[in-house]
Formats: sequence, C-alpha cells, structure tokens
Amino acid sequence: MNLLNTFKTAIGALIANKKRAGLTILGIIIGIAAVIIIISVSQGAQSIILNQVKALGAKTILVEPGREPKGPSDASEILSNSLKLADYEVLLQKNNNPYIDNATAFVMSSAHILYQNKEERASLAGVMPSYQAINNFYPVEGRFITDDESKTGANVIVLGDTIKNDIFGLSNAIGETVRIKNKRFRIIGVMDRKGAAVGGLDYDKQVFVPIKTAQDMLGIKHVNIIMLTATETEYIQTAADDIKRILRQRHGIINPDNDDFHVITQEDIANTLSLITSVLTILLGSVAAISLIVGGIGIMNIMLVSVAERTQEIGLRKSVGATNKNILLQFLLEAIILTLLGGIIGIIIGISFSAFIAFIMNQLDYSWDLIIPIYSLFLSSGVASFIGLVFGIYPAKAASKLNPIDALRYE
Amino acid sequence: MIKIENIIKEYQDEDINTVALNGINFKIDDGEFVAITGPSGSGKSTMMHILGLLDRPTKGKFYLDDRDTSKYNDEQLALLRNQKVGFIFQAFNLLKKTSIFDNVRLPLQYNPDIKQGDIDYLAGLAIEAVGITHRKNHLTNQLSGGEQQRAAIARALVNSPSLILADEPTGNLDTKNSMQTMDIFTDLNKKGQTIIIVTHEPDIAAYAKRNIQMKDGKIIDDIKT
Repeated sequence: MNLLNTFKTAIGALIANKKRAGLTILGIIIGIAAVIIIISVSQGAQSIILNQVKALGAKTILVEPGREPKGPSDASEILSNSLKLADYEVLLQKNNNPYIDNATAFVMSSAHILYQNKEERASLAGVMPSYQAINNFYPVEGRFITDDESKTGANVIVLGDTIKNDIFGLSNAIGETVRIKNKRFRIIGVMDRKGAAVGGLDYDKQVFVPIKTAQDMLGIKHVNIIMLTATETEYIQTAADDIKRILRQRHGIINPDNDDFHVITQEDIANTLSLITSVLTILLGSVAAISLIVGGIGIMNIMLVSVAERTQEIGLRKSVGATNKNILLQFLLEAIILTLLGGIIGIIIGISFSAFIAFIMNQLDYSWDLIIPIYSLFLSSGVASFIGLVFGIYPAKAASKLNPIDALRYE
Repeated sequence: MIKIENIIKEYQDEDINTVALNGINFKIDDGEFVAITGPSGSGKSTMMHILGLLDRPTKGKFYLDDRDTSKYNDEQLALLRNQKVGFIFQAFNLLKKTSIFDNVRLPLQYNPDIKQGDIDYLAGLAIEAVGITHRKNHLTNQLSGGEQQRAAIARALVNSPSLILADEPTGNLDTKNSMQTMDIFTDLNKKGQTIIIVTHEPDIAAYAKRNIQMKDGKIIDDIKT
C-alpha cells in the first residue's frame, strides 16, 4: 500500500471517529496555544519594561547614596546622606568629567497637599530646571521651576497630571495656592502626562518644588539621587567610571568596598529586568511544556484504545495482505495527523489570543509590543510532532505486532 | 497445489497443552472443491487458519504452489496471503462505516504488483462477478447478510488468488442466501478456481467434490464424490 493510500486510510479512520479525535487533539491544542501565549505575553511584558527604560533615555546614569544594596531588604541606600549638592556641581564640571552632557539632583519625599477642603497625597520631588531635560518631562500648562527659585527656595509648586485632575478637575490651577505642612505654595505649572515608571513610581502622582525648598522642609542637606546623561551611549561606562573616581576622591574613599554611593546605568536596569522576565518566561514555558507532554500522553492513551477497538480491523487487514509495516505506518500516520492538526489549531489560537492581549494592553495605554517569536512556533509544533511520534509509536507497534488470527478472533 | 505434511498444532494455555492438530497429511490439486467437515473442536478451523497463512503450525510443512511456507517470514507471508489466498469469514469481516467498493479495493491496495490506476477497475469487476454492482457505494451496514457475504467473496476474488478459503461461509445466512452463496462457489470452481470450505452442515458440504472429515485433530475420512 503506498503512502497516499495509507494517508487516506488514516484520515478515513479519524473521520469515522470524529469525537474521539477531537478530544484527543484538544490536549495538544491547549498545550501549544499555552506555549505560544506565554512566550508572547512575557515578551510583551519585557517590551513594556524595555520601552520604559528607553523612555528614560539609554544614556542616563543614576547615582544613589549608600553602597550597592545587597538584597531587597538592604536599606543602606535610603538611610545614607552621603550625596550633597556640591557633589552634583563637581560632577557637572566638564573638565572633571568630559563625557557627561547634563545632570540634575533631586530630593524625594511624600506630602499631603491641601486645597480648600480637599486633601491629596502625593510624591514630593525637590528639583532643579535640568530635571526636565534629563527625564524628558515638561509642563503642558504654565512653567517649570527656574534656576533662581531652586537656589533660593521659593514657595512655588508644579503639579503632576493626576494630582491636578484630582484637586482641580478641568478648572484652571495656575495661580491658585495649595498648602503643604502649613506652608503656602503658588501653583506655577502642570506637568504633561507620563504614566508609571519602572519600579512603580507614578510620574503623574508627583508634585515638584524647588530643591532648596524641599531640603528646608525636610530639614536635610543631602540629595537622594543625582541623575546624569552621557554625551554618547558608548561612553556610558567611561562616564560611570569617572563618576566613581571623582566621588571617591571627594569622599576620601580608597577601598571601593567602602563606597558610600553607587552608580546605576540604564543598561544595568534593563539587564536586571530582562533577566527577571526571562526567568519568568522559562518558568511558565516549562509549565506549558508539561501540558504538552500531558497532551501527548492523551494521544497515546486514545491511540491505545483505538488499537484495542480496531483489533478485528487490524486482523482483517492482515488477512488480506497488510504487512506489519503497513499497519505500523497507518497508526503512526493517524497519531501524526492528530498532533499536526492540533498543532496548527493551537498555533492559530495562540497567535490570536496573544494579539488580543496586545490589543487590550494597548487600549489600556501600555506600550505593549505584539511579539510572537518564530522560535516559539517551531518549538511548540516541533514538540507536538515529536510527541505525536513518540507517543504514537508504542500503540502503532502494538497494533502491527498482533498475530492476524488472534486479532481476528478478538472480541 | 497444496501439500500438507505431518502438521501438528499445539496451544500452550496456562501450562495446559492442547493439541488442535495431531499429524495431518493431505494434498489438494488445482481446481478442486473441498469441504473440511467435523464437529466443533475437531481442529477444522485451526486447519483453515494454517491453510490461510493466518497461523503457523507447531510442526510440519505446508507447501503452497510448491513453496515451503514454513521458511517464510511475516512480511513474505503477508504477500502470499495477499496474492495467493482469498479468505472468506463466517462473520463476513467487512470494514464498518466503509463502502463496499472500498472494502473490495483493500486487498488490491496492499498488492505491490497492482498499478494504482487498475485498482478501481479490478474492484469493479469483482463486485460485478458476485452481482452487487448496484450496491457498490453503499456502506457495509446498509447491506443484507447475503449481500455482505457476496461483498466478502468479491474481496477474496479481487487479487485472483490460487486458493479461496471459506470458514463457515453460510453460518450467518438463511437457507436462500446460503444456497446463492454456494452457487457462486460452484460457478467459480467450474472456472477452475480451487476452493476449500470449512462447514459442519452436511448439505453445504455436499456442494463440494471432496469431503475431508476431521475429529480430535486428525483426518478420519477423505471422500471424493
């Protein structure tokens, strides 16, 4: 019997048992769709993170006080007051640090904002004008804090988009006065919408005051973060090394283990976050792969039932001249057709569902890229065919080895 | 031509040894019409399975057209079954949910010497020979018992085998259909076809020209009429 006839026979047998075949491939469909969806969703999540890191600017370098945290509960960086405005000024000087283009320092805290009888909780940032360019974040109404105001500590405030809307709704806020800790602040501007950043900070829930004003209110002399941008992406590492050298010199540190600050580049952040999502992808992918194997065992089970149910048919085929090879091929083809069919349907469902998730996420204003790596299609369909072969061979072999007369007599 | 030499068939079932055939010898020439008869348990069905190459004897030799079949492996036996033997069963053994045409095509599809383009033509001829052309495209379960047995005969004939074996071919049929089936065998035999049937009904055995009677795994009589 040639391959075409065997193929037709296998298809015929599957059509004759539609329900059973349908239930069998369901396992494979779910497994394959799950693999594709999981890979696509984790790639999409990664794209959100990477897009945000990109939005921050690939040339950005952060300097935070305290040595590099050794773990999530290491609070040394928050408690440290080692970074001063003077450090920022020195770092900005071109002759010290030729690869630095721009820099800003700021203080972070939280505050209750009072307006008439309304009270709103916000993140308070004490900033200087360079904050805007480095964060690519500008006011849509009014103006930002000037250099003069940040040095003298004027009582002016710029509101984030969410805070403005919560307090004032659609009415004008510029020129109004709000109170923080019994101090009166004149609203001079409202920031553009920016959304949430990596690490959970919501840019739109911030209010901005001059850095000196914030330091005076909090009773501190230090700054929480110095943010710098390198002149070119390729100089980031050199610039970071220069920063470390300058700060160690200023702080009198000889052994780098005693650093009272740490430097973070965007690359570090991107790498860390990519690592997290990659680990998640592998983890969830393995779970999906297990479901593929379960689907494969389902195929084997059904094929075994099918062989048992069709023992008489096998006997008859043998009695009219089918060889062991003919029978083996027929049952193997049935298993392969089942898995391939399941594979194709699974891929279609997987891609559609991934596209649906991407659509929803974009509707929710996340910059979610629809990524369906080709390898995920090959991986899932490859695994499915492999499973079809592996789990199909055993029942097919069992069928082919039946003695014709025993098979014919089988009840 | 068939030559059976000292065939012994034993079954081993949970340490109990059953002898189904105990030293059988006979020869059947081309063109003979033979009935193998005997009570149940006489070994006639086992004999039939060995003649049909569906089962191997424990000892002894079976020559089919001068070929020593004991030396054949599974694949070679499958080819011999396909080209040399047409088997007809008591329960017809047609494929369910399958058309008569496809059932009759089956042995041709397994025959490596038949061209793909000839399959439909040859299957059509065989179906015509048993007079059920009008039922060609019907499914197995849409046919009466007599029609099903004719389809099974067409399937047995389709590869022009040198030997037709029928195991209780009328066992599931009424008298009228039994007679029609036996008439088909008689006609085929007249055209030179070698036929061996196994039956326990004397009036069916009477259609044959030679009657081999078996009892307890042995031949007790061999009568030519």
